[in-house]
Amino acid sequence: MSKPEFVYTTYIETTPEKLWHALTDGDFTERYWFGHRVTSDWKVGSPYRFARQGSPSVEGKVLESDPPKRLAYTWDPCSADANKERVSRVTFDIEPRGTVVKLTVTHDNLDERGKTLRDISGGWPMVIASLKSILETGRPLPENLAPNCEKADAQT
Amino acid sequence: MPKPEFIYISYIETTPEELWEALTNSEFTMRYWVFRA
Repeated sequence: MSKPEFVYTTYIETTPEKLWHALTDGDFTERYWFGHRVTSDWKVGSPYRFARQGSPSVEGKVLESDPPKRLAYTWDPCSADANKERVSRVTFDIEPRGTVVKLTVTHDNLDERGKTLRDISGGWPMVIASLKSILETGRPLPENLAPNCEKADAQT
Repeated sequence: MPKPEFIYISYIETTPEELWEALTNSEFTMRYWVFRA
């Protein structure tokens, strides 16, 4: 894997199928991904896009799609600053572990000291915590910890 | 900070007091602090 990379692992009391649905269904992502709705047909080579209140936030194309085990896509933030960086890659690995599921999010092909690396290092823990909460309790985390670039930058 | 180090961040719907209790109360840690290969 290319450096730098960001790897985040958690265990969620759910099924691989429900987790796959949570990652790929726009109605569902809108509820826990702080208002970001994803759209794609999830075929390899197809485009996907996250949008919040209609304005695009992240887009790219599907690199791997093997439900309910492995999903990978390119990560191209729709912001002027990030556009100067190379397009990075996100991979979700879903493994059943007894009655729970191990989720590993790997974000690689990042620019060293880039804005994207800073943003996603703060962002993934929020998104994945909210994902775990909604799958286990039916409720996402509150919106007021939503990804905020200024706040994430200040922490680093 | 010296390398290597391991940093893990999460967000939990609770209060700081309840989280502190969860980390320091042995009755509570016994329930969730599992080491299994």
